[in-house]
Amino acid sequence: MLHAPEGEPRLAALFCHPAFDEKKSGHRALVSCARRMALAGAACLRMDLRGCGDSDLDHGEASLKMWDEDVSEAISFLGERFPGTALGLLGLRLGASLAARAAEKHLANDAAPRILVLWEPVLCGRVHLEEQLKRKQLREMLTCGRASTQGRGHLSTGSAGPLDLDGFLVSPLLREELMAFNLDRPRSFRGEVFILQISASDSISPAISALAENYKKAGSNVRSEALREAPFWNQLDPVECPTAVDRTLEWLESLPLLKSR
Amino acid sequence: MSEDLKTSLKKLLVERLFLGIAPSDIEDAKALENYGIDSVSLLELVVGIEEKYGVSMEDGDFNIANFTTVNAIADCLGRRLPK
Repeated sequence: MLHAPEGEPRLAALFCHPAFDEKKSGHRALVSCARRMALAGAACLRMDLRGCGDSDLDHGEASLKMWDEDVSEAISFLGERFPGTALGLLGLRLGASLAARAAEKHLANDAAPRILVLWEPVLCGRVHLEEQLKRKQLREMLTCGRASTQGRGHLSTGSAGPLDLDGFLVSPLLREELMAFNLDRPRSFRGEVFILQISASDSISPAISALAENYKKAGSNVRSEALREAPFWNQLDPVECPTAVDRTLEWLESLPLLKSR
Repeated sequence: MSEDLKTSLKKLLVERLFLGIAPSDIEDAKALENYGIDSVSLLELVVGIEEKYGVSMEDGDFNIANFTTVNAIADCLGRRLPK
């Protein structure tokens, strides 16, 4: 879905959605953000990664490598569709992690993203998978009195079959990729970075501080903010998060890069 | 069971789950569902407990009896904390 502004866009942004159950509940906030950014002059592309939503393949066939390819193709599409326009990536949760990975890959070409917006990025794939397993265990507990699914032990044993996260099959490959995934390492992206921590805390966590520092060391201009809000991507129903959108738009409007056109 | 642990748990519940009440308003033996705590909240609660107390909830801990009241959570958590 491409949300196009009136006239020439100041920015072409790709939205990267969360994974598993978080995608459904995070959807509304991303749609709202895309619409508001379009009103502010940005062309915003939202898409479903393969194995998710309306896209091809079953979830059990998806892999992180495949999702990286999807994001790369979408970046190329935006670069061709809007030549000469600043490119940006905006992601929520694992989508933010994918955006961060993609930003590292597209460094040396004309269509390189220059703006990166990370809403509560998943910093460690293992922790993310463990949380999704806990979610499943809690559901089982509420239904049957106790959990029957194994938690972390199931991840560690590397059992051959897919992992079922309440309908979201995770292939052994995706599980392996997520277990190995970690954003806590030096970054090479050099551009404008906005990291929005959305949690019960109103101070930036050490992990987010470290991520911001890694981007600064790479030469990026970084703003990180803590937004004290309930994690909307975990709610039962899709909810909006207007403050996250407000903060993002405010940051985007402050960028000299977007004022120069 | 340590009153400090229960007080700390109530503070965690209020802050982490955005309950909009004072920690002292939560009764030790009152069912948590009376405070609007549901399946979604429980995930936040578990993650919050693990982060705050540096423990890891094991598979056997995911028993409804461990999550009914502040007393129940404190009992379960107390077994995980170093003496």
